[in-house]
Amino acid sequence: MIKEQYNALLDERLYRTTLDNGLEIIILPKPSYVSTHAYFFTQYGSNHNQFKVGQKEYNMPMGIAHFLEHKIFEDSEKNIFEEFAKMSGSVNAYTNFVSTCYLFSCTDRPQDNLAQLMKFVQSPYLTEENVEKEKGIISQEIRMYDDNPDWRVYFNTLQAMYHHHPVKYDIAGTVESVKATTKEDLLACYNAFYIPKNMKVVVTGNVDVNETIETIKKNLQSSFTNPTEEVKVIMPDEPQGVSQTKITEEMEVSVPTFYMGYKDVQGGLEPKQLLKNGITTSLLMDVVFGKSGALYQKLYEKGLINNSFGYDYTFEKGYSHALLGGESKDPDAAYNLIKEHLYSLKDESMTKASIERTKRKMIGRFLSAYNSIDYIGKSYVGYLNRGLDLFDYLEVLQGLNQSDFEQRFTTLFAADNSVLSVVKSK
Amino acid sequence: MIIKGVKELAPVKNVYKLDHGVNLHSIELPKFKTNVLGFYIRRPLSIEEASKNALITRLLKRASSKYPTTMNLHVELDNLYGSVLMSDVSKMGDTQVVEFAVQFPNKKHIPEKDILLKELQLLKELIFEPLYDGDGFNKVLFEEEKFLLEQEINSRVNDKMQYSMERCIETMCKDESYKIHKYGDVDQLNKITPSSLKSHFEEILKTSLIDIIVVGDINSEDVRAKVEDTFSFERTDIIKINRETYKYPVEDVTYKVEEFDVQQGKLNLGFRTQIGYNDPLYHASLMFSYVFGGGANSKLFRNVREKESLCYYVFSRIEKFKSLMLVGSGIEVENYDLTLKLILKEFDNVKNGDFTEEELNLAKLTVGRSLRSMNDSQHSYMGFYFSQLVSSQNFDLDELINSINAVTREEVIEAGKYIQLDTVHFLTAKKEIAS
Repeated sequence: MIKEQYNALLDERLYRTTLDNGLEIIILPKPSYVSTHAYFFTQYGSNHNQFKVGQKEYNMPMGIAHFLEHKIFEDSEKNIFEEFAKMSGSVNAYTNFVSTCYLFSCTDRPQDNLAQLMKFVQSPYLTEENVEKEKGIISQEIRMYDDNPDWRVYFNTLQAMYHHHPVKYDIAGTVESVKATTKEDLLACYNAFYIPKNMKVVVTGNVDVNETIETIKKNLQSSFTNPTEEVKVIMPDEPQGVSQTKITEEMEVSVPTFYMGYKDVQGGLEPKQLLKNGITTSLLMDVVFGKSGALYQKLYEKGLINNSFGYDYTFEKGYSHALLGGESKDPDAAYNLIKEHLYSLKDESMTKASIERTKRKMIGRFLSAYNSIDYIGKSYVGYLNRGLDLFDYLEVLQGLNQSDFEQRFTTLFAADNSVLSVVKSK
Repeated sequence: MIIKGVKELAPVKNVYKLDHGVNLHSIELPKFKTNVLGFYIRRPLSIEEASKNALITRLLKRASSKYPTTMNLHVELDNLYGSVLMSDVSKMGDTQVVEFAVQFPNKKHIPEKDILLKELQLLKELIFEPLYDGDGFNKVLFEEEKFLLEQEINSRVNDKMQYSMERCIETMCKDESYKIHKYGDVDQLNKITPSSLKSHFEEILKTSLIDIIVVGDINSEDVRAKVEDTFSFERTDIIKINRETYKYPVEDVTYKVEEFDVQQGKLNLGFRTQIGYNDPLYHASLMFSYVFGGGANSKLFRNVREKESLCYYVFSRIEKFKSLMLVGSGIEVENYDLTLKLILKEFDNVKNGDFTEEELNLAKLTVGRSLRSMNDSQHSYMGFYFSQLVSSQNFDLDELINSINAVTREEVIEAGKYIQLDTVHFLTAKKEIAS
């Protein structure tokens, strides 16, 4: 059965279906577009290093999900990049904390590209030799990020916020953990997580719905089955408070960079509540930290922030946090001013006018996001990972009221769960 | 259930002359949910002007006489359904482009039906009614923005990948205006005063080529009427921007090493192609670069990354206006000699025709895909359109793809005869001092 949803404001139609083996398919056709993008992903990322299959427990080297992502591109005969390029497609992949996603974009032959995507992800080709060879490439990827101040300040924030949760570790692991990874480790992870009920396919762009579903069905390999034993991810218990309140790293930068992180106390929410909580917090942060607010103006006029200043709320199953920051001549002064402002603000600045105005802004930004099939695809992958409904956003946004924000302000900012992360020159 | 694939309709483009050197370009591309409306002002890239123009883009988006504070202005933008204000300078060869644009939702998705007119009025307000005090820009805002621009110029060093490539270009083009950074430099910035900046701004509004570009679900006649009603211009003679010099026969390769406190070395190479964008071999030079280092099917990716495991990223690209071919990669510092040798070996291979018809074909498909996909992004399409305006070309995307597909293997080899290595730049780790 194919479920069809229509959203009048967006004027878009969305189709969903789940195959007998548990693989879910989500399609948003954009017939006026030239391109098609497809995403085949597993709900397995860098957070899932410890798991059980039946009674057997695994404790994997850090960064293994990302290592596996690199190796899926290996084939015994063909060059995967070339196979796509021949069909006007471009293939890529990414790994984050909670998922590993394989994707292509193409301007011709979408069904052939989709068939190829389905095939190569289902047929890993690992040898001792090609696993060894990849270690040099991944090490250079890690080194590249080591020299990136924005990346370092971000991971240091997570490291300071969390005691045990694996989100505190770099997605790619370390040069040492990559060296320690073996072919057997990689295969064990593949067998545990690259299974139909843990995976989904998202397709957006110039495609026909039925044809797309048929292509996916036709390209399911007999080896692509759910294991008989249950796969269970093991997550350590995480205390409420932060691990350390300040973290500093020295790098060769001309202007320091800072992040503030607020570790959220929310947890274990049902998908509907999780979405509402996420949108409420995003709107709240827009009102408090946005360019139309008093705090931004104060920080900017004192030269404590510049145009790189930004803020974001992350809400995943099991953990959530608010981050804000950018370049600053004096991170400590910026931090103090923000803390002071939040303290004196309490929940009074959540005026009706500022809430209504920000809702308008979020509606406009939501519309503009639907220009980009790449954005649509990537954000659907994120939504589906959390079990959220894709078209609920506007309805939830419009239904929010003042008390939602007041409550959120208190729970997020009142408890002193904040950290300051700074990257500065020696 | 079946949704028929409607083939892409070519955008309808209309150009209207509004005044001496001021043109309106209306591009009807109705599939997007937003429209983009922008002023694009062309200036000759010069060290005297670069920082002034950069500072102007920052002051204009800070405030105006009607919206004297950042808060006032952004409350208005929020109310206009989260309109996004984009204002910055960019460098296209020896042209410095001053962009001032807004992106906003189409009226069909929102209750506000006069949004186009309101956005035009907003742009008029911001560009033609800045917050002046006396004979200069507002002093407080001026000092704040000057400080932040200086900080931004200095913080170029924070992003080593980009910075190392900029240093390679600066080394290679040390006697050419192309070496000038789009934001200029701190010395020039510190010479600017609120009043000198105001006179400069008035001057550029009179003497520059100005293109007003509107893209989206629009009606060209309606746009023209509204734009003509909203803006009036005061014009004098227009400043001429010379075509870049791009033929630089290389006598000796320049090698430059700079040390920083880094984990990874960045190896960048600058080549001169000697082939201008209007030369018959231009598309062949583009294909040369793609076969050499354009994406995952290129020689550099397959050999230097996949076979030798020396790097995570390695690429080659063509700079259209200056006819440069730029190669970048990130490596272990001790692998400098080996990587350089392998990159140059692949360069020689392409030059000597040691590539297959299949490799050339993959390069064409890669370029074709990225050009066609520009139809699906308002910003990419505008960038493509404006780049053609600056080079006085008038290809549509399909023509361009056809002409690239027509490039032969012999032409790629012919183009290769002109391409010369000019500069090798290595940003490396500081040597450990023995204690």
